[in-house]
Amino acid sequence: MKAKNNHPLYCYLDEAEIRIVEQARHSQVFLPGDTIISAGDRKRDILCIDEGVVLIFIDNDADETIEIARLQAGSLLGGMNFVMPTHRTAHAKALGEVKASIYSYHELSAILAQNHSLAGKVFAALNLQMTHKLLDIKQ
Amino acid sequence: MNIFVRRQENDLFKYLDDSAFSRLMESSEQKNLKAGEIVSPQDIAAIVIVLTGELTRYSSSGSRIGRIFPGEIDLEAGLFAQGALNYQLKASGPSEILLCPYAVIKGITEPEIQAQIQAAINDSLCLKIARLTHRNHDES
Repeated sequence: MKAKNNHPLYCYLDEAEIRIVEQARHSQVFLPGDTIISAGDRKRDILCIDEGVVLIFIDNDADETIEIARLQAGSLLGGMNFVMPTHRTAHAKALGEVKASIYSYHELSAILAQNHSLAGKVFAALNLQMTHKLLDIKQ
Repeated sequence: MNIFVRRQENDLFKYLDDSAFSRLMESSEQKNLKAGEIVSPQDIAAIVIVLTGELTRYSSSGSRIGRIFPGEIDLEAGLFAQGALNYQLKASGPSEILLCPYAVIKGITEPEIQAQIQAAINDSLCLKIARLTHRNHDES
């Protein structure tokens, strides 16, 4: 499968296929300091950062905040929860204003269940993201 | 996310019907490993499916980072990684494995079968990451 663009979810899709997936997309703006995700959440929506920076952090045993990463525009959050229901392991907070696309789990699942060609390409895009994540984790 | 139902035992072909399953099994190569034999991603461009026995995953620094049991798969990340994966597998005892070449998976033209394979890889990669991230999170 060859990438057609750099979008983390659309990378294997053509223009017509992107329009179909966008039926499940909802835009949301987060203000500086807004919580985007809390550790323990079980929401299964996928979130793509369109503009701005998102701080990923955890609380340690002493209730101190430990920064894990700063995600830039073009990053995907929640791909794993979309695949499998599990709880989030870190918090995500907007650093400055953040514009995001949120792909509803139920709406996107319904679209993919009806269109296997699209499903294969979206699943492959998630596999690409998860491969990067797996290889980035220090083992 | 599950738009498919499990129909087969092994984790790569689990969503395939019997016909597609037979076809992909025929395109895969079975291999017997002796205890201690190494399977290196540098040498094999294929997803490994353990049929019998057990494999252990070792990091490039030599640390044991996981075990793969019958029905489970590994090296699926190699299908998407830029270069060779930086770990290797070692047979814990005599083991039988099935190698499904990346080229076979890339060559699947039927949309439903491609989606079923990609969904199976979704599940396997997700579990591998969760074992690493949730272990640290849940024990902290």
